[in-house]
Amino acid sequence: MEEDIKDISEYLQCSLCASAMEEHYIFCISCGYPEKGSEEEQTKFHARRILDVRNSSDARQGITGARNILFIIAGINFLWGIYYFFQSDQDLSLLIYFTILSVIYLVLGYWSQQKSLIALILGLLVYLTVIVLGAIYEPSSIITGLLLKVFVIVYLARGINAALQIKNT
Amino acid sequence: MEETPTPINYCLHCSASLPTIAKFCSQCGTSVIVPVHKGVQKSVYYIIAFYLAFLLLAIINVAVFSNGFSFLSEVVVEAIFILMTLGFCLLDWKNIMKLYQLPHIEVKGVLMMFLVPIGSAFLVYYGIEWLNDALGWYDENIFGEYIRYKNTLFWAILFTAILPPIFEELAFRGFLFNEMRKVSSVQVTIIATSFLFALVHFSFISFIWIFPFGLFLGYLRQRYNTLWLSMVVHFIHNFIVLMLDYAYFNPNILEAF
Repeated sequence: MEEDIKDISEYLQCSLCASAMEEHYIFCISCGYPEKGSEEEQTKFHARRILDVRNSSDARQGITGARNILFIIAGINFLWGIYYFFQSDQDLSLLIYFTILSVIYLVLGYWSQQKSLIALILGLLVYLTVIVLGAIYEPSSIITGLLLKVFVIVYLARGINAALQIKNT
Repeated sequence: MEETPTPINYCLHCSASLPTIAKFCSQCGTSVIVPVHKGVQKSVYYIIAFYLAFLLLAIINVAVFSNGFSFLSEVVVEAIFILMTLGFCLLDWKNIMKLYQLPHIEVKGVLMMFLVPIGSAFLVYYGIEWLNDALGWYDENIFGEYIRYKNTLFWAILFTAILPPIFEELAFRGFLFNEMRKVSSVQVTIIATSFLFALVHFSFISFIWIFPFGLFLGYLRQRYNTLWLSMVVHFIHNFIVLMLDYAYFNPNILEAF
């Protein structure tokens, strides 16, 4: 019994993540910390870790930004629907079109909280589809609000990239 | 007592032996987790490229038909769609070919395969008709689009009920499904492929019925790991809708029976 207690007290642990380490380990096999490495290696490890945390935080921000864009587009589409409905002698078809579109963006924005990568990919593809369909019916529409369109596409693409980054880590 | 040997891995950098739970090499600190992100990234690019190709096809479609509706334009658009689908499938040819194996289907599966598309076809046909009536929209007749060709019914069946089920299933439940599966879970894959399948029909109103239909096709693809069932279901659905349009376009046909 006493021997067992002694064994436990001599049990090696990683000083960073407290994972069990064996005598011959230089690096922790769970977190990669150079427990028996040089001071320089340990400093480099901490620096890299800070960078990773910052990257991860940036990635989360990227996803949140893209999600907010989806919610904003949803709102804009709904307002467009109401506007066109009253502008066009209460034409229901436009109201239905914009409401469905708005619901799609809203659902994708909400879904991006759980499945950010897929939801943002679908969001981007819906947005591109709307642009292309608009251009097919009215070619000049592609220029209308061009900067805004580029801004939305870039934001959604950044969100996808961030979601990929999170998936990688 | 004999000790159970700990399973080991090897560090690809310094060849040190490692326990399987290791995320980092104990000797050189290199990460030993197999990087999956490159595959995921490639699949994400494929998914986006695949969909963009369909958007491009929509533009080509408009450009080709802008000079008038003709048999040649129909064939050209259909040929581009088929070549595009086959081109993407070449990227994952081995896995896609496996989806053409004959499945073992239980009675429940066979019943589903016939009853669901029959039900969905009638529901969609009369549902859309009701919606169009209610909203005062023009009700398109699919058969009517082919009336200017000789052998109208043959071409209508070929372009509506035969080719789309074969190649849309290959594209969406084949290539796209496989790529999505590399990025996400089964449930998410079924939802996402159905979503894009509905979206690519370029009608937000049709989205309401194409999306659930796509979910059913995705379920069959996943449940039986084959494209045959979804192709048959897709064919039955399209064929019944076309036949209803045929019957309504030419009411004499009902009297002939």
